[in-house]
Amino acid sequence: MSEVAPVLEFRNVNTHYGLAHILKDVNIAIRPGEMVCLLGGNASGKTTTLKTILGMVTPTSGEVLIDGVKTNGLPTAKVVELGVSMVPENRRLFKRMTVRENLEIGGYLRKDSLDDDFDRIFDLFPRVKERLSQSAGTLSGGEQQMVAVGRALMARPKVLLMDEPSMGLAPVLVAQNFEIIQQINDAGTTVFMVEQNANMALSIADHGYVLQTGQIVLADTSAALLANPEMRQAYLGEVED
Amino acid sequence: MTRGVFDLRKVIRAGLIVAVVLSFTAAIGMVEEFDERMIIDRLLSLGFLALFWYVPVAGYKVGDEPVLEGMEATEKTPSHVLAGLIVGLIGGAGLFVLVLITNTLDLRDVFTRLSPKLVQLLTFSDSITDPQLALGAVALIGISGALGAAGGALHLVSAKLRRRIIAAPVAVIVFALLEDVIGQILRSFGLTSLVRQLYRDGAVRIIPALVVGAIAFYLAGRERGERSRLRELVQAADPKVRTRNSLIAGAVIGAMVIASPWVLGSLLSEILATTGIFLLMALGLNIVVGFAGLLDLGYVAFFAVGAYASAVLTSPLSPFFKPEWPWWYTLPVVVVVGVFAGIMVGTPVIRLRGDYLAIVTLGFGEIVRITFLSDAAAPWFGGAGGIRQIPGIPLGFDTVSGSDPQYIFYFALALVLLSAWVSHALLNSRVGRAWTAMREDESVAEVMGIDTVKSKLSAFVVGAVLAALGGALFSAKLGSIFPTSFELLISIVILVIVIVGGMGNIVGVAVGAFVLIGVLGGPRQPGLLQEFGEFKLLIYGVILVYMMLQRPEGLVPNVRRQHELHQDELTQDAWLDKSGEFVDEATGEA
Repeated sequence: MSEVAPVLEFRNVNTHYGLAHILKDVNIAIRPGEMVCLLGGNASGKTTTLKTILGMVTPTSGEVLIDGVKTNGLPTAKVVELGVSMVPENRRLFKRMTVRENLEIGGYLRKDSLDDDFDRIFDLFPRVKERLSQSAGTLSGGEQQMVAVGRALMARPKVLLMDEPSMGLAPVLVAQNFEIIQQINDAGTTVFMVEQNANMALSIADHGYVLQTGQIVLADTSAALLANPEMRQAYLGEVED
Repeated sequence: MTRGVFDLRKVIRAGLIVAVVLSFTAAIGMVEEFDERMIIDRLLSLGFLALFWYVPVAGYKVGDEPVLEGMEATEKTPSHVLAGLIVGLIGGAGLFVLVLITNTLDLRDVFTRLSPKLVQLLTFSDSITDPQLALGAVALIGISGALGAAGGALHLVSAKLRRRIIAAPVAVIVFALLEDVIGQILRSFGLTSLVRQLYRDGAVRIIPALVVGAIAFYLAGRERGERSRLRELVQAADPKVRTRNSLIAGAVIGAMVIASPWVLGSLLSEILATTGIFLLMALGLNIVVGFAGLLDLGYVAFFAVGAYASAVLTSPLSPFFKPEWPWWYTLPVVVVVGVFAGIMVGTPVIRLRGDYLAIVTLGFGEIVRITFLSDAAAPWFGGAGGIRQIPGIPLGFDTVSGSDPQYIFYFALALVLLSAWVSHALLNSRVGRAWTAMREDESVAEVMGIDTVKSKLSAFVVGAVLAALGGALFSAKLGSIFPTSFELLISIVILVIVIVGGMGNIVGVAVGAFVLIGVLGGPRQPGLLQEFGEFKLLIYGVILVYMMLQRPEGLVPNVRRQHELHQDELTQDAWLDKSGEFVDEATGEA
């Protein structure tokens, strides 16, 4: 199991908001090239997990490691520099900036030329190239998703975080979205996806973790999780908090 | 039947609004104050212009129908004239009620301007007798009605003729109001006798007024195509020629700007220099508010800090710093102090957002002013007595101070160009892009790796330095500074310049500064229309309210912001496009 060092790792991470104990001894390991999903209902601690990775929440104990570097207490900008970028929930493009400007902001911390990355994104999403000088708010939902993913890829992340890629989208768009995620993972990007839609997420992910009230209750390959009766039950009738 | 041919309720409402506006204008004393200042010799005083200008506008507006896509244009019928007439009559009657009240009750304890003089003026008579009053009523209501009807009648003529009819009186009024400038320019070319033929005591003589009106009438009738022919000529030219021509044009404009203080004389140079100082600060505030989206209401603090830093170092009367430095040496210190002040104010407030930031910066602005005012700091900053005998700017052969506004103009110009360049360069830099992203969505910007604290602080610091430089020039220009020179009103006026001009747009801010400071004047500084002196803030307010209602993106909008503010209309348009012809009673009404 430990043939390759994880690119993102949680070691016994605990976090608190004031007195409330949110994440409880969370252990996660994501290896290069994998697609891993974190499943859980409302208030299960999914968002806190992302915030902890990004340095917006500092763990009270335990370690977060990105490519072997401990990031506890580092500011967000430093964490991003270490190789993490995120596609936020609902895309959250800079709507009044052009597509090109959005992509440039994605590569904000990069010091080298962005030209290759632009080309890579145009290869992945040819439609983005056509829309380059349009303001992002005028794009269709699917195109916006491509730009949001492109924007995150501009940072050349070692891990790409996806926050609720299916949230608030029409079913057609959800399918389209997961196709995009699959596509970039196939192209070699490590993806860590936080999602409520368990079936959808597990259908494309390699591994899955199930978070319940701040604890990892299940961790296995996607196939095993999909077959797990406990899992099926939990997700047929909502997770209770 | 087509809609909106004659909506009596709407007409009466417009008439009542006119009555309120007329009564208000009269009650605040504009009619009396401007009675002596004639616009057209022996014909029209500024007082009556200020009073009655709104009547034809309202008379026209009341018949205005919103043109929606897919809606039939309403017929142009004489009912428009009737609507205008009624609006004018109601307005005039309302004003006459004020006259009657003023005549019977003495309200001068509360409304100091409601004097017998006002009654005399508004009844066009020297004595106040009952027959005179009756005649006055007929005249007042008659004039108002006629003006309203004239406004309404504009609907009946073609768009082209309407443009011409409007342009003629507007041109004459502008020509009269700009008597100072036009007269000064002509005089500096030795055309003093021409000035005497054009104007008498600041008013345009009747014949020149007719000529100016006729010229405007002619020019306004030309089609847009003709007017843009010059542009076509420029665009059609071969790029090489165009570059050469634009270089020549640039040189000519540059030479004109450089020569302007000498052509315009010292009074106008003074106005331009003041405009320059305010523009400098507005450009600085534009970086903070327009680019980075941080609402700073205490911006005057940085202006004060720069002014005091420069004053303390140069004035022999500042006890705590003895060797008097020449003004030039203080500039690096002013910049450093500006940076320091920006960090000092910025660091504690930067984590706040929106309204909270505005209120805290407001507090900081006052803290700085009160600190300079305080007795505790008096040994350094002179307390309420301020710092006097600031020597001005040594130039080797001469020392430039407030008595040479022509030279101050060049300094203001240089600093304005510098800050415009800094703004432009920053906006198109990495920092500028980070500011834009931060203004759009702060949390996402942070996730993209933008250090929002550092970005905000850098906007604060750049803004602070520009204001501090403005302060240094301001203190050299005035020769003495007092804590009262740095009141909250300055922060507000600068913010109004940025908002009216167009937030986030450098050209817009320049336009805003010229319109507000150049034309109307600063809080304590004269502008071109010095006549309006005590009504300046009222006019600021009217402009601000009008702009917020009609054109919230400013005179020269920033493209992104315009988009944001008119999003609803755009969606509505898109929707109308889809649904074809669409007529809605409710929206048509509004």
